[in-house]
Amino acid sequence: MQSFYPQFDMLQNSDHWDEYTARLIRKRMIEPGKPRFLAEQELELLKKVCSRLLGEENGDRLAQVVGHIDHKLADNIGEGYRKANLPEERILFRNGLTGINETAKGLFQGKEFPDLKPEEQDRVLTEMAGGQPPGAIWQGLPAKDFFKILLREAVEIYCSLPGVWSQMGYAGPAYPRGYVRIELGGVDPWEAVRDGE
Amino acid sequence: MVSKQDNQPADVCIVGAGAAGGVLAKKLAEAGFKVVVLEAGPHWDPQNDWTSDELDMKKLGWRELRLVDGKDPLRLGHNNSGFGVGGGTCHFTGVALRFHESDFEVKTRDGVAEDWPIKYKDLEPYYHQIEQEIAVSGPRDFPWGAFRGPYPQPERNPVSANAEVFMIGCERLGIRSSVTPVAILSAPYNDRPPCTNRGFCNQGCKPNAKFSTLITYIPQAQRAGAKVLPNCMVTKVNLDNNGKVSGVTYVHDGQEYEQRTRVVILSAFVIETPRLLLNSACPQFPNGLANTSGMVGKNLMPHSSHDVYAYFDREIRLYKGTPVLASTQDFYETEPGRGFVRGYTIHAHGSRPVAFGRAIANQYLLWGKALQDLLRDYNFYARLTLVGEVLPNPNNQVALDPNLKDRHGLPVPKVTFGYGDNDLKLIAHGVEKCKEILAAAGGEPRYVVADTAHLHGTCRMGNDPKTSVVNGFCQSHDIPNLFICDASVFVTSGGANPTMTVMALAARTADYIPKAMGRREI
Ligand SMILES: Cc1cc2nc3c(=O)[nH]c(=O)nc-3n(C[C@H](O)[C@H](O)[C@H](O)COP(=O)(O)OP(=O)(O)OC[C@H]3O[C@@H](n4cnc5c(N)ncnc54)[C@H](O)[C@@H]3O)c2cc1C
Ligand code: SF4
Repeated sequence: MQSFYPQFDMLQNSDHWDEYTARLIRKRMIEPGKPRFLAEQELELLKKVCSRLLGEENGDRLAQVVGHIDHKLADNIGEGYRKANLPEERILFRNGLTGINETAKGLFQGKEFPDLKPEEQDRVLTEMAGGQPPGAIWQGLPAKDFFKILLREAVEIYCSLPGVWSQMGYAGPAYPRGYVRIELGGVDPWEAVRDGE
Repeated sequence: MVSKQDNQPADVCIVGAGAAGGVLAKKLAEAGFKVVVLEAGPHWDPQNDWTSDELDMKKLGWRELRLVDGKDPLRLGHNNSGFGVGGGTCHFTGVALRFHESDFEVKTRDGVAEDWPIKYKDLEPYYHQIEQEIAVSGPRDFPWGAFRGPYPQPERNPVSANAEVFMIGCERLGIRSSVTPVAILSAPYNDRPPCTNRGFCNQGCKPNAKFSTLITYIPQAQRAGAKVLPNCMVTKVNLDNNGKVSGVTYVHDGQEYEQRTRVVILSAFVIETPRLLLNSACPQFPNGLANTSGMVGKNLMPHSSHDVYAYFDREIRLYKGTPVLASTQDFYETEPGRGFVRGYTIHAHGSRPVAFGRAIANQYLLWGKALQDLLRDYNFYARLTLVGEVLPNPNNQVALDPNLKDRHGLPVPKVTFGYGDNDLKLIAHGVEKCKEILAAAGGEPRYVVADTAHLHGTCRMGNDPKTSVVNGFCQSHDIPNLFICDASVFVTSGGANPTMTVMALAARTADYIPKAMGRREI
């Protein structure tokens, strides 16, 4: 990502976080290890897909993103809600990932998604977002719904990574310290400022 | 096999320790009743269990499966349903508005929906009582509705940059705006500190500056002798041979128990309350307990809550400050010539990275480079949010899914929703106003994200037992010792955040129950 704050590292503030928050965020940045729900191959496919969805090439970040999604599927703590036309989340992900490869094969002479060039991969995702991609799985699984859920899950964890926070110029957790200069134009000394300001 | 965790029958058993449940527990325990509160979720400890993290704090939302369906399927979970002691108040935004007089008389004034069986005047003393007890902070002169202030605590000062640009835009257009009354301290109160503007109200307030029933009414209830039992999911309300409720069945740690009681109050919120009644069907009530009207589960109403994002050429930093600190209700009442009835509130409404990225990416299908550009510009966006009235429609409902069961073997709820014509016209008007305000402040409106907030209805109150589930005191028409007291009794949604009205109703019901018991009406 380009950033207005290339010098800013919000982790510099972490000494001021409460211990529970600090521990949580530290854990998030650890290499997630072997997948717990997805197969290695599915995880690799998901990583390639997330790379295009998020416009992100950094391997550590992508590992954290897909690791989080895998752990969430493994923990299966409850979805809260889902649309009546969709299968349960675990089946949705499993079949959806298979579907991505089916679409890739349908569009590009039998090649699987990871073997495609970036522009070709984007074409697969564009077809899915459009709702009518080739592939037998999509007869019974709404492609657009899966695309949106995948995007949602990927963005949620991506926007929870300290590196991404720094680039966005988000100063992050502020308990117990709090923010003081909240008014228009106000910045606390530990917040991001654009270069030269 | 139903065993007993505790052989002691209660006077009053309250299902759900949320906004209403907390108020009821405190007041009834202090009135001398033996109160047992059963709560499906944990008893949170803000210091140890909570973090300053959007992803982690999704745990404050209801997680058990619900199916959503209809023309405009709702987003549930953290978006509107709390879990654990405190219920929705743990992660609510703290906006503390009263309803207006017109909200209780929509049928009379506008010819749509139904009137409430009570009037604003009936709730007024209870609004006042709750505001004092939770120390709402707000302006000296609030410009709208029957109550114009002052509030127990002074208004919040300063307000966030996002609130400032909203107020600037309003002023340039001749729209009145005000600092929002919030259930968040502006000065120390009891042993609680004022707000530190960390912006995480929707993730639970760690400093305890924001009110929740978890840190106020519930401990007060416990001090008055109420038993509050967490991790107890009520699965059935039981009926005796005389047509009265005798107790409830609940599951704790995989084991089933029964709590016997003289009075049951359901305060499990707009989806679980009707679900519990439908799941408690029995020979006397084959269509669901207390449901001779057929209205249990019907007329589910969210608020329309579209978000409008505008780009500014200076930093707004949506993460800082209490999320809602400025609002307008200039468009609250019906106005001839607008082409729709009823109205809405607009709030300046902060947002942290996860909610920001997720909402816009999903609505606009932004991914790849487009997503990167959006996130890069995060600090330059301001956001306004609508709280729009949604009219009741019996087809919008909570029913039981015939096929899917939860881990207790109970049918999961199926929640169907679609906007009506009036709702859509109201939304279009409100979104346009938000854009005008942001543009007047110098912003460039870029994104409109369709969303909803808050839920109401599904067990509405009324005078006629044929068309409503409870009377004006939240007492079941069918079963005199069964009360339903939470946001599900709302007859209409109003165009303002609902929790002050939920708690005022609870305080009024808590006043009524001892009197009715004294008169042997229960
Ligand atoms: C993100 C968010 C922001 C909000 N912001 C505002 C705001 O700014 N202002 C405002 O006025 N309102 C706001 N609200 C709405 C507010 O939270 C609700 O109006 C309020 O909590 C409803 O109160 P209730 O008592 O009806 O239910 P709840 O507070 O939801 O309590 C219901 C409780 O019942 C429990 N329960 C459910 N089923 C069972 C069962 N079978 N057995 C045992 N326990 C059960 C649940 O776990 C829950 O704790 C917000 C809500 C959310 C989610
Ligand atoms: S902004 Fe204030 S009220 Fe909200 S969570 Fe932070 S300290 Fe609590």
